[in-house]
Amino acid sequence: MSARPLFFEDVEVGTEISPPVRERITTQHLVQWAGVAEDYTPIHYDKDWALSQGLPGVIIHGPFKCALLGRLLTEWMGEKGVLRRLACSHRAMNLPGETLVCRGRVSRTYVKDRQGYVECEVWVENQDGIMSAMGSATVTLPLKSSQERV
Amino acid sequence: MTPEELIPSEARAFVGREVEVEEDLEIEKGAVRRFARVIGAKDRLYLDEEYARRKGYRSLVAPPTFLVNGMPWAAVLQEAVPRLRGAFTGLHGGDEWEFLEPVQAGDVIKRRGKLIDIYQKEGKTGKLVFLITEITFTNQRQQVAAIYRATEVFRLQEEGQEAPYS
Repeated sequence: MSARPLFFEDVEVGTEISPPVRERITTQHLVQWAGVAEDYTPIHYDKDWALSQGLPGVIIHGPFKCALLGRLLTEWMGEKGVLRRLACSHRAMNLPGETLVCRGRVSRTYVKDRQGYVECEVWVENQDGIMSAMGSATVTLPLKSSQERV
Repeated sequence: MTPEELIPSEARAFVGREVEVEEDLEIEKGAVRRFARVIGAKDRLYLDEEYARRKGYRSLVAPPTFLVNGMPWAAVLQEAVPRLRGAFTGLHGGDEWEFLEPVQAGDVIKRRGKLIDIYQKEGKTGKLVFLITEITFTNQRQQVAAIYRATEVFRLQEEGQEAPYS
């Protein structure tokens, strides 16, 4: 997390949500996620079953990717930021051994009720730049003008 | 493909029908820490209770989407899906979250859900049925902590494929 708080005035359309979140996923992550989310669907840990269902192998849980996007945004927005909305659509599968890279970009900014609203496009791609999840998010950031002078 | 081909009225009847997910979700510190660890989140709000309290919270803060715990959409879909025409394999298609109140260890969350839409499409992989559920999470202070919409995509199985687990 950045030590310096992020203000609404610091961002504009096109600002990159950075740093990207990068995680190389292993089958251990899938087992951990299954326990943590209490999602015991076998396509995520039983390879024989996954193959019998026409999948290329055990696949990474969609909500796990969404949670990584949540992390991308909370680490970027800083302590005074509030994540209001996060949506993502799962378009392609990812398998253990792939590296997931979560990125985003500011698409719209506006002030409403004295809060700075920042809308972003967010997505998950792999180490080859192939996108598997894409979506959007809304964060509110504090306004510099509403900060008291010390 | 006719609009009702895979979705008989007995399945469509579930749209709008509210279901209560039976077990309340108790937010536990260990669960919050494990969730933070698996996603690689280092924020001390999720890991260090004393730090979280200094920041004005009651206990550890759960990272966003923690409430996906237990696949709450499954309780909503368990009667609608078996009424579709055919055998299907399901995949999770999307997540949409509205975060309204911070979720903290010690909270007790009630969950109510309903099917809000059901439709079919012809996709590259075959005939698909989309089911969208909406889950409302309410904490012990009667505040709505979050609203979540989950999209499940069910693909009609070809003949000869193994029957899916339920």
